[in-house]
Amino acid sequence: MNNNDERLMDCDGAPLPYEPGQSIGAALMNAGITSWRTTRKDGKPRGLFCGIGVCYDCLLTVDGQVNQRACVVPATSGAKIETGGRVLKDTAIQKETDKAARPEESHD
Amino acid sequence: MTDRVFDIGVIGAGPAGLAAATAAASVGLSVVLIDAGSQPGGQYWRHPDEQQVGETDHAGHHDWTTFTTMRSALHTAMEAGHITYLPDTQLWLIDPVKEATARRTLRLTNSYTAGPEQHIARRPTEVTVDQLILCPGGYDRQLPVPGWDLPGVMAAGGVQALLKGSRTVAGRRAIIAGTGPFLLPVAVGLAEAGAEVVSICEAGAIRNWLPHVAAAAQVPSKGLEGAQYAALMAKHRIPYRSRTIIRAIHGETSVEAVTTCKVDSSGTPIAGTERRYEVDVVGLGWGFTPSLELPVMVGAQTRRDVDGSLVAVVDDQQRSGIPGVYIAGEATGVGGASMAVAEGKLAALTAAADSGRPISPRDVSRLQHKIKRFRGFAVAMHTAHPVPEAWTGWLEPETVVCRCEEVNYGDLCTAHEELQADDARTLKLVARPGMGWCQGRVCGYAIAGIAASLCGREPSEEDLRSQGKRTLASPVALSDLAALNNEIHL
Amino acid sequence: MTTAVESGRTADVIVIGAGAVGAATAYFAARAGLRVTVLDSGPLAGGTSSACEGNILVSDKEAGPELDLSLYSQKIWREDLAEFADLFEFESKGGLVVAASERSAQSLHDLTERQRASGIQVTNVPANSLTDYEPHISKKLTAGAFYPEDAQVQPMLVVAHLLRLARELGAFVHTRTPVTGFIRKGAAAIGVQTPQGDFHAPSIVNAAGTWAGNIADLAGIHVPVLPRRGFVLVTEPLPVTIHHKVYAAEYVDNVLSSDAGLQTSPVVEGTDSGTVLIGSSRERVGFDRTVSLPVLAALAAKAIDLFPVLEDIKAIRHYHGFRPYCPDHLPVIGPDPRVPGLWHAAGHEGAGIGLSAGTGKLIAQSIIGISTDLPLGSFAPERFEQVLT
Repeated sequence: MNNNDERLMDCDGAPLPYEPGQSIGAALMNAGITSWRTTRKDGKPRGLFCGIGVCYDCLLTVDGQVNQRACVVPATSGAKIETGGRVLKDTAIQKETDKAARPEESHD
Repeated sequence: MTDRVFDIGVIGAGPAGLAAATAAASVGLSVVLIDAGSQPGGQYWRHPDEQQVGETDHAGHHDWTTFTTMRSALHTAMEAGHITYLPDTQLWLIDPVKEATARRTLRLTNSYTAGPEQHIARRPTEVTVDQLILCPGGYDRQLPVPGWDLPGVMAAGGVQALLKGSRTVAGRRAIIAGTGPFLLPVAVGLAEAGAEVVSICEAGAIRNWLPHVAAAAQVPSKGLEGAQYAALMAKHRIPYRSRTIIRAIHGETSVEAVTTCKVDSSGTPIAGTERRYEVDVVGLGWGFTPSLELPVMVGAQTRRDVDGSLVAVVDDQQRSGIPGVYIAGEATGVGGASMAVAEGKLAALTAAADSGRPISPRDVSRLQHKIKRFRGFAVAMHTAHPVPEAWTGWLEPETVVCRCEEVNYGDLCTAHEELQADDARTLKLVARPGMGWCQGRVCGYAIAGIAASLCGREPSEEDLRSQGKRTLASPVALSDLAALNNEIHL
Repeated sequence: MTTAVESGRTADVIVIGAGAVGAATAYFAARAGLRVTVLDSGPLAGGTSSACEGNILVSDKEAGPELDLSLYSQKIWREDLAEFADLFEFESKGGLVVAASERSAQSLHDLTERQRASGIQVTNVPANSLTDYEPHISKKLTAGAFYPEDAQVQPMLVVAHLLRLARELGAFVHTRTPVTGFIRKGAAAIGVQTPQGDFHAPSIVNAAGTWAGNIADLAGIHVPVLPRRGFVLVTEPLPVTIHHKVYAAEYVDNVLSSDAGLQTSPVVEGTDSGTVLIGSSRERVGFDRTVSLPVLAALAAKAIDLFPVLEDIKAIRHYHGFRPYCPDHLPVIGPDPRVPGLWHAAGHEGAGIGLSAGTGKLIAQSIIGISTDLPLGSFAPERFEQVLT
């Protein structure tokens, strides 16, 4: 963790730096990203609100795990973050998306 | 893990839970301490991940030595095998008791399933305990305001958590609003970290404090805190405006500005007092409200506290009235960390006594005396910082009330006026507030208040309880539930 | 909106119960020009109507009086109430019944033959065409049948809107007004007592759902309506993932069974709000409100069997309700000859929402004394009397 290059995550294909001890939500805020999901009904942007895992506003996908709370998941080197509120894993449509993003990986 | 039965399960490793777990271990009980967080301390003693950054300075923390002392006791007890500590672990269901025992199985899942490996290692999915001490803590109480769903608007506690936990400043220009002494450390924390705080808007009147000085004086450390904050606010030139609220928050895709205004003693806005501030962060907090789903799940009695929140009823030794279940900390009435520590210790002593261990009556009465003093201070604080009675008058028909299900104030008015929804439960079933991801944790207090105001009455315990009941204490993956299908027999 | 309890003290009809059946009865009675007062011991839809899935089904019925009532009620939903469909999220989504074995495929096939002969619309779906209906459905199924008439409503909105419409026609609705006794004139019931005072009407309808037996007791008669508990799991809100009501063929057997033990069969469907509802379980355990983890676990496992994509999806809550059932699994609908002036409209078991519209209209017809669109003989409230003696 001494090397800054190691403190990088991948957010929708772009490098996202983080500081040791930050949550993913904090790393996004530090990078000036205040929202990473839109609401189901009105398409409104959402990011951190309660900051402590209560409100579920800050959901995103981390390493293929859908609906993780950005405010509680610690940032870690190489984590792959997908914004936009992906909900289903392993569906026909999202398989296509994944194929484009991660051609080398197979699905479980 | 499944074969072992612990004497006591303690839920939550904040001030109350840490105190309860270490006190229980010290009188010889075997303890499992379950916490959703990655390291002990709860929200109050939130600090950066020590595995990543080591010990840091704790300028922003009060009673830090209280914490480190209890943490040392935790580690000692863990090494001795007296406490099994399960961090990153979320309790999602407490099984009903079987027959006449108080023995309960607690259903667990990982708090999160992505991130550093040490945090997402598979935890036990169940533990069984003979007694249960619930120390679920609380979170910021929220009142909806036009524009509060814009990114950049955060719970005051969320702003603080970013600072304390991630050493991250939520923005460059901030305004902090709501009511209560907690607004001060949030504003000061931001300023110390380099943000400009354009104002603290306190809905109450500062002079409300005067009648309660006597109560406050019994807890000297609180007075000192106040003085420290005053000095820091002066240093950072943070204006403190009382009888002031945020009337609206403006922006397209994130916060750009707010409009504040003065209010009268009922909370009704005074025309012509509007001021506009350009900001990129808004911190909102109307005191705290406890997490009540676990007490409600086990069937504990609840009441509406002096501050208007739903809290659990306990006797003067933290017994919930449900055999084998004790409750400590904010869940019994918001009162701060010092009181939570005393309640946690008392709950552990009572649980020990109830299971036949000898305990010192002097320790019990000492703790009871302490709690009474703290409670007096808490009541004074709540009385000085009430949620203004006219707050629902700030809402516009299009103001979002339930952020998850995107239910507007206008939807609730329609449900009441046209569809005869005359309590919070019926409002929820007709218009869906509180039905989404957070299950009413954020909007529940507000919905109860809106239901009451639409009907022209005071919010009732029933209004609050209908919003506080959560049949699952947290979301749980269907695969986790399904995995139990082969293990459980009727 | 709060109604002064002084309103509606004297009415043409008192409806006891502000659930779906009571609301439909109130609406159709008010529409027929009757002055209606609705009384409920709790809030609106405080019983089973707010703890169900809002099904309007024909797929789980076999030839007989309940099917006749179902088909009649379908017509009322789709004709008399068509203009309000959007208000209560009426969705003619269709039901897809699936079989998981060859044997089950055969019995599903036989069932559809019989149902078709009884007037139910049904299309047999071969295994390889199931994904045309449900893209995410398990590949392991052997056959299916599609029922285009199966529909769903949001039951809370049904109750709230039908009562609103009734009030607009002059009805009064008093919640938290429990009926504690009947006012009699000879054998006849001419009113009810409540802690808020007496209410008078020459016609009184017992639409108290699972609690209808208690109301009958107050009138000194026996109507055996008993609770059959069911749990429903609710998921996080999803984009449209499940298009129809999808359930396993074994569900039909369980619906028709009288077994007291636990039965679970997967019933999975999406809702307007994005959540997926996962049922169904049936147990006769009285009014036990404690959570049953074995039931929740079985529901989750069976739902994943039908839709493997649900595996990672989170349940965010569950609820349970008590279906009001009679020993012969038919509702009680009609006047009670033992107590002139008293009608019953209860005991619809798991089909109360679907049957409510038809039941309400039939009761209104019966009260005003015109011939009912369907004969009520099979639903006669006194039929259990003969069994007992």
